[in-house]
Amino acid sequence: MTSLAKQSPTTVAAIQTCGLGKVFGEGRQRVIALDDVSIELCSGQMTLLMGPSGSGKSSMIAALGGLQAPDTGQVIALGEDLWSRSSRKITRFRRDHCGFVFQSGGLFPALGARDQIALPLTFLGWSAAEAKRAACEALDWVGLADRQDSRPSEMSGGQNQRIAIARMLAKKPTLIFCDEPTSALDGKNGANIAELLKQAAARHNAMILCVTHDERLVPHADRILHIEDGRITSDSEEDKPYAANR
Amino acid sequence: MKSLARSNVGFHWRLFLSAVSVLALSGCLIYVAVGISAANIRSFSTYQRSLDVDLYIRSTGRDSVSLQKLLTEVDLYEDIIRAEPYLGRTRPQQVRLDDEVKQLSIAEIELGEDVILVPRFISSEAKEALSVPGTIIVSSTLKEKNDFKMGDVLWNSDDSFGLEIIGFFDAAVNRGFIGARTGYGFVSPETGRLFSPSTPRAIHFGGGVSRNFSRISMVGVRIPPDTSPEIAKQRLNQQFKGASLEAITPQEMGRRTSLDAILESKQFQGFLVVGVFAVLIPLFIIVQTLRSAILTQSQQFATMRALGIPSRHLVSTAMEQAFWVGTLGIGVSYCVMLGVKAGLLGRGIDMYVTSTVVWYVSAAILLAALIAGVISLTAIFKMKPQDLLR
Ligand SMILES: Nc1ncnc2c1ncn2[C@@H]1O[C@H](COP(=O)(O)OP(=O)(O)O)[C@@H](O)[C@H]1O
Ligand SMILES: [Mg+2]
Repeated sequence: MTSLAKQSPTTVAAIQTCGLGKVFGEGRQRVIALDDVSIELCSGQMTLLMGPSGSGKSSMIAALGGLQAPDTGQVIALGEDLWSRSSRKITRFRRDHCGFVFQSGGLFPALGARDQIALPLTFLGWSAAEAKRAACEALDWVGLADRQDSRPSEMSGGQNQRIAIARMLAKKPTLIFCDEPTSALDGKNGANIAELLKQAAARHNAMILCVTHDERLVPHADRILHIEDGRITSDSEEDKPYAANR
Repeated sequence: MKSLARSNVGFHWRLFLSAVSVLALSGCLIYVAVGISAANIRSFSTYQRSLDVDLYIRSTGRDSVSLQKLLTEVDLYEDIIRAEPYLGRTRPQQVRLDDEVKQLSIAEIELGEDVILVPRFISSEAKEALSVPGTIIVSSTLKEKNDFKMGDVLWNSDDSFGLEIIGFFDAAVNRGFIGARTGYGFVSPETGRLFSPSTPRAIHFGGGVSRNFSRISMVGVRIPPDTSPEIAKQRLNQQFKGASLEAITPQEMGRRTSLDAILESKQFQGFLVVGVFAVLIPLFIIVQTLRSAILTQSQQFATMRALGIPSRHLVSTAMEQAFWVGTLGIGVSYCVMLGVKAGLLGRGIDMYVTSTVVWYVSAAILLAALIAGVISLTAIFKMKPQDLLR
C-alpha cells in the first residue's frame, strides 16, 4: 500500500482512504465514479464534499460509510480496514458507528416522530424505555419536542429532515454521512440543518462528511473538498488546488 | 411501543387489503365446503342421534339371523332390559290424496313410554294423538313438496283405509331419514296394520317397526339404569364371542354411520379437491400482493439496512406483516362465514361448523399467509441501501 496522508497533530483521523477507485459499467458504458482518492477526514470536523452531479459524491459516501464496496483501494475507518471485513461485520460497523442522513429522509411513513427514532434503536438492542428517552431528547434537540406523534406526511420537508437528523444523532454515531440533506429545503431551513449538523460534530466529536452543492452550507463548514470526475480537485485545508493524485 | 409491522399494516392498509380479502374469501370457501359436507355427512346420523338408545348391537356377519335370534333371547343377558329392532330400508308406498297418487315411506312406532327407538321429536302429546287409529305425522318437507295440509286424508291402494295428517315434524331431521333410510311419516302399529294388512312385519318387540323392511340392521338396547354403557358394552361383547354380534355406543354408531357416508360419497373427494384449490389459488395471489406490498415499502427496508439493523429484524418485520394479514384474514373469514351460514340457512341449506373446523380453517389461513410471507421475503433485499444515495 502507498503511504497514507500524514495526520495533523491536533485532530484525529476518523477515516483515511488510500487509492480508492470505483468503476461502473463496461465498454462504452464504463464510468469512473471514484479515481484513486486518498484523503483523511477528522473527528469533530464538518467536511463538505462539493461537485457537479455525477462527479462521484454519492459513491464516496457509499464507500466510506460501508454501504458499497470500492473496486480498489482501502478505507481505514476508526483504525480498521473496513472492506476487508465480512458483510455481517460491516453491517455491525454501520450499526455501531455510522449515522446517515439521506436526501429524502428515509423515514418510516407509518411511524410518528418519536417512534421513528426509538424503533430503530430497539432493533439495535436498546430497551424500549431507553429508546424512548433517547428519542425524546433527540426530538427536543432538533426543536420538535411537540411533534412526537406526527407522521412524515403530516410534517414539512424541513421538519422531516430534522427528524432524520435526530434519528441519526440519537444513537450517537462517530461517523456521520449526509447526502444532499438540504437540497429539498428553502434557505432558512437549509441553514438550520447545517447549524444542527455542525453542533452535532462539536458535541459528540463526530466526523461529518456532507455531500452538497448547496452554497449556503459553506459558511458552516470546517473544511471543503471539491470532486470532479471521481477525483478530489481541491481541499480548503491545503488552501490550494490538489495536485493530480497520481 | 407498537411494532413496525403492526404500524405498517395499519398505515398501509390499502396495500394489504387485497391479501386480507383473498385470504378471507378462500377461508370462507373452505368453511362452506367443509360446513356443507359436514352437515350432509352428519345428517346421515341425525335419525340415530334423535333416538334415546343406551347401546346398539349390530351383526358382524352378512345376515340378520343372529340379530333376530338375539331378540328372542333377551332374557339371557343381564345387561339388556329391553331390545328393539332397528329396521333398514323402507320402500315408499303409494298413497292417494284427492285424485293424485303420491309416494310416502311410513314407519310404525310403538307409543309406550319406555320405548327406545322412537325419535325424541315425537312428543308424548304426539304419541297420544297417534294412538287414535288412522292418524299420521309427516315430515314438513312433504308439506311443501306434496302440498300436504293438516287434516288431509291419505288413502291406501284399495281406498279401504285413510290416514289423517295430524302434524308435521322438523324438516332438518328429515334429512337424517335419507341416510337412515327410514320413513317420512310416523303411524302407530295398529294404524299401520289397518292401512296395509298384507305387508310382512318384523318380529315386533318395540318401536321402529317399519313396513316393507328388507332386514333388521341393528338392535337398540336399554341397559339397567345403574350400569354404565361402557361396562355393559364390554360385558356384552364378552358374551357375544362366537355369535357374530357386537355392542357399540350410540356415539360410535353415529361416527360409523358418518364415516361410512364419507367414504362412500363422492362428496368426500370433491371436498378434498375444493380444499386444495381453496388454499393453493389464493396462495398464488397472496404471494403477489405481499410481495408488492414489500416492494412498495422497499425504501423502508433499505433504510433499515443502512442503519445497520440486522437482517433478521427485516425478516421478522415482513413475516409479522404476513402474520397480521393472516390474522385479519381469519377474523374477516369467520365473520363472513357467519353471514353466509345465516344466508344459506334461510335458503334451507345447513352448514355444520364446529370449533374444530374453525381451528383448522384458521390454521390453514395463517399457514397460507406465512408461506406467502416466506416466499415474498426476497423482495426485502430488492433495494440496496446504497440506492438511498442519489
Ligand atoms: N449503480 C450504478 N450503475 C451505473 N452507474 C452508476 C451507478 N451509480 C453511480 N453511477 C455512475 O457513477 C457516477 C458517479 O455517481 P454518483 O457517485 O452518484 O455521483 P454524484 O452523487 O456526485 O451525483 C455517475 O456518472 C453515475 O452515473
Ligand atoms: Mg449523489
